Amino acid sequence: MFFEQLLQQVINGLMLGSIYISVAVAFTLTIGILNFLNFTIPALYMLAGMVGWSLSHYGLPFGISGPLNWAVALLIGIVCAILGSLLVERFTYRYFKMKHGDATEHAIPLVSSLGFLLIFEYLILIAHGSDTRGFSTPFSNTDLRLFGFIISIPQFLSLIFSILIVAGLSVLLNRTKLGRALRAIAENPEVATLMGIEVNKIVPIVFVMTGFLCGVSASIFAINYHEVSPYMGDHVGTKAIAAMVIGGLGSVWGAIAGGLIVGLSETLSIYFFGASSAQITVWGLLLILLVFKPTGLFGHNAIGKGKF
Amino acid sequence: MTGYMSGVLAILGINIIFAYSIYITAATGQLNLGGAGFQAIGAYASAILSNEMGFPIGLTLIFASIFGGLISFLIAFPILRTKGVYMVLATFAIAEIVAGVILNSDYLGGPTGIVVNDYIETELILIVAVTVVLFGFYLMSTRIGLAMRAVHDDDAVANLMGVNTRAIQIGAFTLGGAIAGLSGGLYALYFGFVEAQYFNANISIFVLLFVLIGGTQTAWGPLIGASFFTLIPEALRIGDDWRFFIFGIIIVGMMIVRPEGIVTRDALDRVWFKILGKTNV
Amino acid sequence: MSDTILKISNVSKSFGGVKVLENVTFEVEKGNRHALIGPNGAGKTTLFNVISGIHEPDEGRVFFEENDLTQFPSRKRIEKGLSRSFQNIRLMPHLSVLENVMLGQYSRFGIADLLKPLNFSIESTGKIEATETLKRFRIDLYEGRTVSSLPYGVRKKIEVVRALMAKPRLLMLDEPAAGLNTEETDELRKFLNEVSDSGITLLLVDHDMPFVNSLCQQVSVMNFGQLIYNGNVPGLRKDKKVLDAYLGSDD
Repeated sequence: MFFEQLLQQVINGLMLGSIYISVAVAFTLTIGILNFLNFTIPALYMLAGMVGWSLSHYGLPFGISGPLNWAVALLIGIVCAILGSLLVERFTYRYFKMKHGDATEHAIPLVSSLGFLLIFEYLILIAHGSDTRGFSTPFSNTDLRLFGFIISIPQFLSLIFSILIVAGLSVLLNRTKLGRALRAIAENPEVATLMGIEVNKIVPIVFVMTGFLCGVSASIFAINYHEVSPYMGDHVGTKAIAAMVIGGLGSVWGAIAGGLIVGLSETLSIYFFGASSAQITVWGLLLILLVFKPTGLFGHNAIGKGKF
Repeated sequence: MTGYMSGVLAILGINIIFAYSIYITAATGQLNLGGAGFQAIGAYASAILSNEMGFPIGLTLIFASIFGGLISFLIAFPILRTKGVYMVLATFAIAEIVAGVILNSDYLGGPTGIVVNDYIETELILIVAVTVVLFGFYLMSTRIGLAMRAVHDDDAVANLMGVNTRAIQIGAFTLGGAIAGLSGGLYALYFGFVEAQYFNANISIFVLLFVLIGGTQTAWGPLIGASFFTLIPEALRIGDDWRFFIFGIIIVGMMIVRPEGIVTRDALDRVWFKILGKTNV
Repeated sequence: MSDTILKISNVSKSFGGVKVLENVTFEVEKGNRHALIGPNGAGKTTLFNVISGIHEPDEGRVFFEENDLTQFPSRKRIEKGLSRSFQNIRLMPHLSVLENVMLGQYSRFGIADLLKPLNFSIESTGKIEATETLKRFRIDLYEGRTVSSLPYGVRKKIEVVRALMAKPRLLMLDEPAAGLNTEETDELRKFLNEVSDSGITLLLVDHDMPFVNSLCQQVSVMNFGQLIYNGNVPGLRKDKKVLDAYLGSDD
């Protein structure tokens, strides 16, 4: 009986982890390719969820309506996250690259992205207040019972979906011309420019991916847990950062492993030690890793060592 | 002094003290994104000391700082193994762990918090704030301050110049923790109530922004940064949500116009030049 | 025979399997102006880094005034009387010229002096001495300015002055003349002669042969991590190994 319960917790943990994966990949991509810790990511995630909720609640623009209202609303939410991400690119990353090159203080884009975090968060708070909102989709009770274990179908699908997206991303990075260009930029932006790579056109693609990953992850969250809130980004954002560090900064597959590990340790420590213990377990694990093995499980040595 | 004015000044004083705690670490090139954790340590320490042990106010505050400094000193050793982004994340993790420990401890009141019996007036906060600001200026004007700024710029060369870079970093981190503890103690005694949820990631982010926007090159930075961001919203008399929205816009704009902060050495030199007609060194 | 101030004995160092220094042995005599030359990648800067303690040698020992410094922490070598400048200027970009120079004095002060505010011109803070040194070397004009905006030649000079402020007995300069124009090089030579006259031993790495020729009494040549010549400057031209290293051997 104990082992069955434990196994159920493991399943729940992996499902929870699947939510973190996409956001962790968004973090790890920007830091791996651009050496930029983008603190706006949790806000982009929240932006997608809240825009999706607001459109499905108040109705779509131009009087469009139909059975898939909620899906269209989420889609528009994802687009908003992408646009928001491009705004961040324009006013933090590109601007500082142009003005200061690579050598000056890396803290500048980081601080600027914190500014955008506040802008997006409080914009939504001004528009919709701080309440948690219910998000209704046709899938209300879709648990699958398999050998006595409860597996939620949307959660399971979202786990598969996250892994597929990341696998696709991995192929993109390793097999395509765009991937080669991105890896060249990660290695050395100046050399990449000399090699004829149009850095200013490629870098926005990273931010499009970031926005897309956040948007998709927020949509999955909304469908699974039937709720969104202006603070949904904070929780997922901090856990995704933990997942990124555990997996190793800059490693896409590491982010998947990290996301699952964080999800697992969160549910297991809640199961064994009570609801509020997860915070200590997850962050304690992270701190130990940062101090003793800062490259994480699959990380690259050179990333993030820059001075502030 | 009206109640409103006195409240604003108390918050201003606490924010300025808190900003100097982060500034002293930042001046050596270490970004601490876990300020709230160190402030929480001081706040809870003074709540316990004052309630359970019956310490007088002065002693409570002194021990809150010592406690904050001691814990910072102990974690400085592992933390300073990390660099750059890793240090930002490690300090962030520490604040989360501190909040987690408080939430899980019945002795510390868990999620419900603790009511503090003793209380202080705004005047005391202002006196302490002025002292901390003067101390900040004094420290940065000594050769130790010079060494701190040298470690910020190039720790390898500073080391060859005979500066004990590790001692400077650990010392700055410890001192920062002590001052953050002091600001937490003042917070607990002024508001008469502490709860873990107050000391959240946003608080850590705000105080770091005060310092970075104010500028880390001179001791003016945290004073100007904390005052600017505490007083401007009060002057504009706007709602909380709008306040932080505008805060965000100012940050993005500031990073574009003055990425090294409001007060830089060169700007200060120009001001001195206008006032004195000569350069101040 | 004069005294030896610095003795490198059988020093070897490799990085990732590549031997950068191979069994290097040489001595610097007290009061001498000694040059270390050689093609790019010969290991001169690595040798400097071994002497100043940035790298620990794999084998061999470094002696300074009879003390074995091999295991000695790099931070404390400046107190022993050994200071250096860097090939790529490494001044503190956010400190003023005066402050950069005052950083050079750091090792000479005890903890009580470290806690005195520098802005009150008390004798013991060293500020007066630093200001006067800047005056003596004619860079006082810039003293309040941050260094990043200054001309290259001035920054090079500030680096040398900073190293001097530690009152070393051995001053090591890594390519002090690189990037300077003729006028600046002449000035540097005069300046280093003054330094040498005050009793400080000079060890410098440089590529500029006329400069080395006119300044130094002793020269050591390195090639591929090995010391191939050690002697006076005129003897250089007759040495076959040196000619091979610079002009390429016939086979």
